[in-house]
Amino acid sequence: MPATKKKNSSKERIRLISVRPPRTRIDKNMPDFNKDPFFVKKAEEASAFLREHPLPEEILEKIRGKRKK
Amino acid sequence: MNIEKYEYVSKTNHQAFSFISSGPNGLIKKIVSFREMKEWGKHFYNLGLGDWDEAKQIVNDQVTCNNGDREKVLATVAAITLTFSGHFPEAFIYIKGSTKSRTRLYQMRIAGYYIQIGKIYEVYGFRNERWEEFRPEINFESFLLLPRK
Repeated sequence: MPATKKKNSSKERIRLISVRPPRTRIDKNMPDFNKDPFFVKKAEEASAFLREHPLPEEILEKIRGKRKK
Repeated sequence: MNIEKYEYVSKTNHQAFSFISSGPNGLIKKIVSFREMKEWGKHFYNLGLGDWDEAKQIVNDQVTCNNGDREKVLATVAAITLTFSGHFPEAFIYIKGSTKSRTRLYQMRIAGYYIQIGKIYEVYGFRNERWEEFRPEINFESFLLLPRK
């Protein structure tokens, strides 16, 4: 009798469970909080910080590498 | 680590989330935002956390909130970040607290979840005017999560 291959090892199942997003309820009426001045300002401060403190080339290459896809 | 979390809801685009903090100061709506920073690339996001001020109808971090549920709030933010990364697996996430104490809390949570986070993200921290690989025992001023391939 041929050996059957397990579809998902326990390690693989743990990996899938740990990275699969949990079910999330969707609120269709949620305002666009990302446009709230508080978060707009936070993002602008983050951008200013990153301009003043540039990311190392090794990190930028990874970001660029993602962009090329 | 299996810390209790609040239930949360997501906007349809999965880039904003909200949950209700409950405690001695009553019910406070917390908002977690992943705002795109397009100048840094298509998949670059800033993580923000604020409180919904029902009276002023705005988000801020000036609402006095000491519900004694700090760990639960942070665990919820971590779960939300996981949910976000599931929908945006190529997203880079920049994290900095609005105050030093909040950044320190993020530091502690990233350190606490470092094994789990490390499976999904490379983590970098900024300190002493430079970016370096995150180490749990070091205090950083801000953080960057890069998705692993």
